[in-house]
Amino acid sequence: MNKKFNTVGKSVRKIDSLSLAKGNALFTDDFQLKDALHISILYSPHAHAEILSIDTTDALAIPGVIRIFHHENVPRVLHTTAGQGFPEPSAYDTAMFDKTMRFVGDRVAAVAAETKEAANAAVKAIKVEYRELPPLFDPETAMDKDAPQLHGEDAKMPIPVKYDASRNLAAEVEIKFGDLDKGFQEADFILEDTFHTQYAAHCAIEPHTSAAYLDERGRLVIITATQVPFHVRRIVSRVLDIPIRDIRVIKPRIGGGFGGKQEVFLEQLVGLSTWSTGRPSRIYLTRPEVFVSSRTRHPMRVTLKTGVKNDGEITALEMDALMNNGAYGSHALTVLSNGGSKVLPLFNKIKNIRFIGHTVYTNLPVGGAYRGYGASQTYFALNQHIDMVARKTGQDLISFVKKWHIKVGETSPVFQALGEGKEGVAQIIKSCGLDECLDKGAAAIGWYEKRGKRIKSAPGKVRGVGLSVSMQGSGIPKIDMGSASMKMNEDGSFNLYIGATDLGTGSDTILAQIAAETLDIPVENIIVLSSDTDLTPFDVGAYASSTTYISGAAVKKCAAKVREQILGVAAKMLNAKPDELKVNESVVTHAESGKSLTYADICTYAMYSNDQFQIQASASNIAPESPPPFIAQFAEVEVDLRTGKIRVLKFVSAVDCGQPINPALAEGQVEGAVVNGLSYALTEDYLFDSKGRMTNPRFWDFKIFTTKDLPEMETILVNSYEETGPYGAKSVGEIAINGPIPAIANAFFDATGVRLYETPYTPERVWKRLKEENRLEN
Amino acid sequence: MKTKLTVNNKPVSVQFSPTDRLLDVLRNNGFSEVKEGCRDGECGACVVLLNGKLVNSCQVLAASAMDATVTTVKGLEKDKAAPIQEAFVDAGAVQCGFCTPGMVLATYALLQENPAPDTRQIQQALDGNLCRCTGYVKIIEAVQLAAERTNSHE
Amino acid sequence: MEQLNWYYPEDLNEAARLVSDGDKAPHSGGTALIRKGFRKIKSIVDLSRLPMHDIEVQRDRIEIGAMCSYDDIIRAFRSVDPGHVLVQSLKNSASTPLRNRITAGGSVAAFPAWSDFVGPLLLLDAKVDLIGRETGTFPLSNYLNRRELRAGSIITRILTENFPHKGLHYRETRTHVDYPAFTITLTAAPADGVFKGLRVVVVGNKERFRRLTELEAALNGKTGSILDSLNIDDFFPVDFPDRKHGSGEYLGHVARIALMDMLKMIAGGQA
Repeated sequence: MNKKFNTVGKSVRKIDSLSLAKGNALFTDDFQLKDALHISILYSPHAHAEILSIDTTDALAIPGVIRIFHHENVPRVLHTTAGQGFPEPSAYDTAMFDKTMRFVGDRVAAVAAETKEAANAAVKAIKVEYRELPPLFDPETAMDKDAPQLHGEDAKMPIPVKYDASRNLAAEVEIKFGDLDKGFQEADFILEDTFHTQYAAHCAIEPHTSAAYLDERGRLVIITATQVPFHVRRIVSRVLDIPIRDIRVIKPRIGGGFGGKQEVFLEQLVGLSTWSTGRPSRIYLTRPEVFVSSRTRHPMRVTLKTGVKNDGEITALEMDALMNNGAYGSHALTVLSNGGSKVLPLFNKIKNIRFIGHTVYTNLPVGGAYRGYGASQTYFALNQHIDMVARKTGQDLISFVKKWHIKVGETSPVFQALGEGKEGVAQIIKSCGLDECLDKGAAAIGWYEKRGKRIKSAPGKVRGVGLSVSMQGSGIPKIDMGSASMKMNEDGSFNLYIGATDLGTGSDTILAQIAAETLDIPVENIIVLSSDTDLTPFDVGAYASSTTYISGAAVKKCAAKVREQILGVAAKMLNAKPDELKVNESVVTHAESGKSLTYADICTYAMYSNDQFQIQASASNIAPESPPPFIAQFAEVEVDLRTGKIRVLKFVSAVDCGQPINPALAEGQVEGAVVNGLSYALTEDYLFDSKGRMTNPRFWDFKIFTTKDLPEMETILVNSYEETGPYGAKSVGEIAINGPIPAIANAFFDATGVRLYETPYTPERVWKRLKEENRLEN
Repeated sequence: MKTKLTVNNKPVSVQFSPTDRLLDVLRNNGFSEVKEGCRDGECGACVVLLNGKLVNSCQVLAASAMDATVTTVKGLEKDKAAPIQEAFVDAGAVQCGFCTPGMVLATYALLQENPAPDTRQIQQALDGNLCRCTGYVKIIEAVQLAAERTNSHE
Repeated sequence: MEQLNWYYPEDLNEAARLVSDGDKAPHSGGTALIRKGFRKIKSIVDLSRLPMHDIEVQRDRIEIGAMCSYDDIIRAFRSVDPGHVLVQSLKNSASTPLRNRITAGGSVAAFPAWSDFVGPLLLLDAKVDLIGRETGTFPLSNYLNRRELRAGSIITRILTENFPHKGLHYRETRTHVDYPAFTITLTAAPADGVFKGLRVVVVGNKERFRRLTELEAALNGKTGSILDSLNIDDFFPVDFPDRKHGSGEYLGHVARIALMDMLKMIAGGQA
């Protein structure tokens, strides 16, 4: 596993970080657009209503108001905002403006005005008459016969999968292996529990924002905070009926995404405004708008039934998931599928399995892509059942996991059965460092010293430790495509053009490192340009933990082609054969003659001397498989048995992401995901009033962690070297968010003997659980 | 309304309406390094030094900052700011970087007062700056690194 | 909206004259004003140029100019009494940049339910100096209870007692940077396991604040062992409203536990 690398495996400086730290780097709203129109949106105050009339007379009379868009003057083109590949596995159920309002926060109209103040004043001056419709808030009743129906017959899935708007069914998934009944009959005992996870927000610190202008040739240029510039171009083209050739999408620095900026919902609005007025336009959402009208993590109900033999063998497992997608079906099918496909293969020795899932519409905020993507929700259930099984059969949880988890050379039928909108792809695991993760993590948390000890740390306070294990994927196999092109400059530097989208993760740096490794040069010699649909080749964008593995392999292929050309020129210059040449730090040496050339010499020769040509190449990559990273995460908690308050004292994550290309950035992904996961577990929640209105759409009331809330944190990288990955790499972006919810629940049980079935673990909810189980102390 | 601010050591004449916030006035005058994350005083992306004090510029009415001296991340004393910025880079504390100007300013204000802060003091000083990318671990390390480097130079 | 006028009085008489109509909003730090919005406001009187920036911490009294920020107050105690109950409460209030901006006067005048400042002030029997429609020195509790004292007047100074007592401040929050659902503040003289000079106040309950005089009377002069037989419910006539932090019932439960923990710390000399 200890491969020798020059740049890979080193924590080189993130290439954009100094300009960010100095405040020089530009984000979408930092671009000065002369005389730009400001767009403000009027939102539905009702969860479910029909617009009877819109009167914009007064609003248009406000000085500075240029245009007001609404369902009567904008063509109704049903599409999905999901920002996925084509055809999307999400329903075409969304119009830019519709006559029916489906949640508090749905879009009624948008005003384009000379100033933000005028736009906001006009929003208030629009008169709308609504006819309220009965709202649907409870996902459990969404498919009932008498439930209010949210979408009409024109809402359609663009791919052939089950979808039934008449039953509010946005997606359905079912897979089965073996004989479930037989499996449960063979069991000595059966566990059956229901778990609920809540709505949550991404909370990228930069709000959603887009800007647009017409270039000198009249093409539409959109600068936008997106994870998916090429999908933006395609979706805007379709919705606004503008040819793709007339649209350019630029992603500048973006202030965090976490899946939230995969959603394409502002770009068509600035595009519409600019295309129809000829004026630059911009929109910058307020924080309450981000909470309510952008996308969320889908809440899920997961019922898990597990049949177990007394020796711990799981003979049958049935997972039934009900996902609430809110008003529109963004990522309805794929998040649900991922809840099975990224989770069930982990314990691959279970022969009898059924996964059944439904995603339903409700008149609540819209779900979308969010780091973890369904797996975080279902791992909550699975990890608690694994903990229960180990306990009930008298085994140490770590030994139990080691015995039953998927290993190198093994597979799971789930890989093939469950994909993204179609069947998945069979694969055999080629790297798995989970055992080492378990051992190193256990040592770091002090597992064997603390487990089951119920240490009383103060009156009423007791401690416990818990474990969560999970896997994720590395891109979507046979679907996600990334590409790269490179050209060489006569000083021995290289331009690297990638469609891949750095949303703050450092993927520009990672991809530069991969190129630098291949060419044997310092990373400083790579000049990265990414995410501009006019200048860079296609890439699906930043989602599904794909960039390092899929786009990284494209970069590696591309750089290898460039290297070949370099050696070809050098061979000519040195009168040698390319395979007699060696490269070391930008110098090509011919051992036999002792002659050497620098990259600069070679490029200069190629450009100016003889048979001139530009040393350049491009390459694309799709992956035939999606090797999972693995993680073991440990929480130590202190529970106040009098109040229900849980304090996480220490959190350890040991992750196998293959060869980390840049260890500091890999750790940063884990640490960021963990802290996000901790507040997802403990404090983050959407509170709604009886009308379906979110009552806490601000950071003061949607509590994400600050510096002061951190537990002691430890992150351990376990290098398993994935042979199919670029320089051994697998993904690391999402996986670490899976652990906090189950690890804390399992630690809580270790401390108290009480199970938690519902997130977030707010003090009052936990207090009630302790009361139910007679575990409260005075 | 109008006033003359001193922003990053240069006089800047600004116009604004009576309820405008300092954040908007700064951004409208080209100081795009001051970021808007919440307009609610919690995220800290918009912090500046106002007459030397770290404040949320979204919580300051421009009309209350007549003739004020404002320092953004670009106007800090270079010899004191550079070690902080370099430490953030070296510690891997910059991911998306949207919070970073605010984090650097909060660190600067802290180190002015306390050149050798412990972890708790760092956590306290950065409590007004949200970051969703890093989990703060490397940010806290960056502040420690900046303090060490600054102290070893003096 | 554009009609709004700002006034920048430079002496107290001018300020008094301006605010006494009652139709002008005073501005000190601005955080409360921004939160409230400008819908009903025609003009704003900025108090920053008035001579009320001084703070004085004496052994037996404290004088806080209304324009002092939370941070100014914390600093004033730094060399004198860094563990003072006011410091305990303010250093965890809001966040660093907000503590630089929130002022003493503005904080008392706005008195949000989640104030961290009012609890300790009530314990220290604070008084406020007013100018404007009302002029003079008024007990803080009167000021907070009587709307007519607040409209048309501004606080220039807060005066409190000071004594070398131990203090504790509890804030019920969801994360560390949060406005509290309620606070409990207490002070007591150090006296060998005997309660002496105990004062307790709750802020954020249904009646906004309450000094627990019955509890003080029951404990003062008694040894710490009285806590073993104390039924806190008998001395805790406090109800909480439902908040985003939790239901009123739950908050009441947590408040009782927090209070008992604080009393035990005082009795055990751990404060």
